[in-house]
Amino acid sequence: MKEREKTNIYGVGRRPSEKQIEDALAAVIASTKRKKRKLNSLEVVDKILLLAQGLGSLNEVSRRVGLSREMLRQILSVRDCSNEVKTFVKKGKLTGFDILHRLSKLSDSDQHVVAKAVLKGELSSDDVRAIVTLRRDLPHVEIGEIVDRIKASRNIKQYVVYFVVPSLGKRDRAIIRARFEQAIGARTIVSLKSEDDVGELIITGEGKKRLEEAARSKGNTKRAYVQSLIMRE
Amino acid sequence: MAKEKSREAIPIELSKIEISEQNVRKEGAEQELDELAESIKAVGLINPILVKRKSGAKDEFELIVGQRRYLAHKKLGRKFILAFVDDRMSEDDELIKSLVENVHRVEINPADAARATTALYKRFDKNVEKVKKVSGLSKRRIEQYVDIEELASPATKRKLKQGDVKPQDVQRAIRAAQGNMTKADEMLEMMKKYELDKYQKGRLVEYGEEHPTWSATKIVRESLKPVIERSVVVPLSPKLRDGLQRAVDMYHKGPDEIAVEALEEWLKKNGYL
Repeated sequence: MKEREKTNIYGVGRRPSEKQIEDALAAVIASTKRKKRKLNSLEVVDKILLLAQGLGSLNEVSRRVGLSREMLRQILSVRDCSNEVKTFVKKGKLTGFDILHRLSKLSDSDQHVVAKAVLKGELSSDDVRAIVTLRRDLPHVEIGEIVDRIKASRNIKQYVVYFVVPSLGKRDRAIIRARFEQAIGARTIVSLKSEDDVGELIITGEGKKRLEEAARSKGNTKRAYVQSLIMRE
Repeated sequence: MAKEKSREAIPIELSKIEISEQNVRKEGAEQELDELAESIKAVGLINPILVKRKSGAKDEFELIVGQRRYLAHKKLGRKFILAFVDDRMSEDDELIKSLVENVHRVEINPADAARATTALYKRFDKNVEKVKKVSGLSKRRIEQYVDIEELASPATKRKLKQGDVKPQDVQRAIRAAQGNMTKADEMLEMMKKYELDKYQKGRLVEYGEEHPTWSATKIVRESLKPVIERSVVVPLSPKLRDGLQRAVDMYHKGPDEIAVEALEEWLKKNGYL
């Protein structure tokens, strides 16, 4: 069996210097409290272990970096992920600590299947948590079947965007719908209607993602982008 | 005799020690005892047990904390065990110490933990904060245990002791049944039969609370089906957006979650909830 790469707190070596501790503190804070992270999750784990060695305890690390001990434990659980998952982490494909923590509770073979589905955008962090719980209840069922069951059982998320619109005729409505379809894809639009001066656009999760991307690429907020689609001459 | 706690552990004859009524662990004490006995044999007793002198007796003791260590010594055929003697403890102190020592370990039986936690909860005039402070349990866990102790049927408590059901599921069934024990038992049975997942169990609680007149079967059947969940996309000013982003980074929560909390607080404050 392939041996799992595991960082050992006692394997860090000599007590780190003050400079190393200061650098590690800055790196951990920068990589856990900001959206754009400097380090991948495994590198963060190494820094936390170095800090635990240098500061004497996880409690002290928790105090200095301003993360709860529970959060630190969750981050450290990345060490229990399979080597394949760690490769995804190193390549920057899997980044969320919560997902990695939940994955670490599964067997190596299950982790692989679930991580691939996460990478395809098919599963959220909540879905992975639901999979972990169901897996405990159903240890003999194929992991693929458990993933499918969770996908079929979760609520269907839709997003509603309200916007101000001039009174629309049938033809205008068709034109506006065509603009939205062009911007975010026809299949992501659940409905588009208007009453008096208020328009209501209902879109799928994928539609919301595309709307955000389109708005960002134009340097706009979602609402301003929607408004620009409505008002375009 | 002045009441005090011995500063150093002293060897006490096992035959002079009896398990206290206040000891939380009623079941499961014998589990994995061999492993513990082996460890004691190899490296000795690392943490001495805690005993209290029996009232009026000079060398007879009640065991407060360390039942498994005590049983492991018996198993090894030892005559003595190292113990701290604390004569200052009230019944509350004994219960607290025993609970705190036991609930954080995996082997503790949830039915026993529920009984002990509820006893503390009642002694502290139903003050969850006080129970939280002395036991180290989360507020959620305390409420779960109290719900189980006060609202679960004897049959369900037996199942909990046997490990046939999980405390979280018992609490879900209790909440969904709105205090109706028979309905809760039915729902618990069906949760197991249909192997409900986390999402379905969430819907079970939601429907049970929303529709108290629905039967257990209808609630479970409905909870099997996914529903459409709609979120409204709200425009935010750059200032609000920045603040929300900082809160997301700091608390590791989703923006939706934080927005819902803020909305809930506002609605409560202004009397709409």
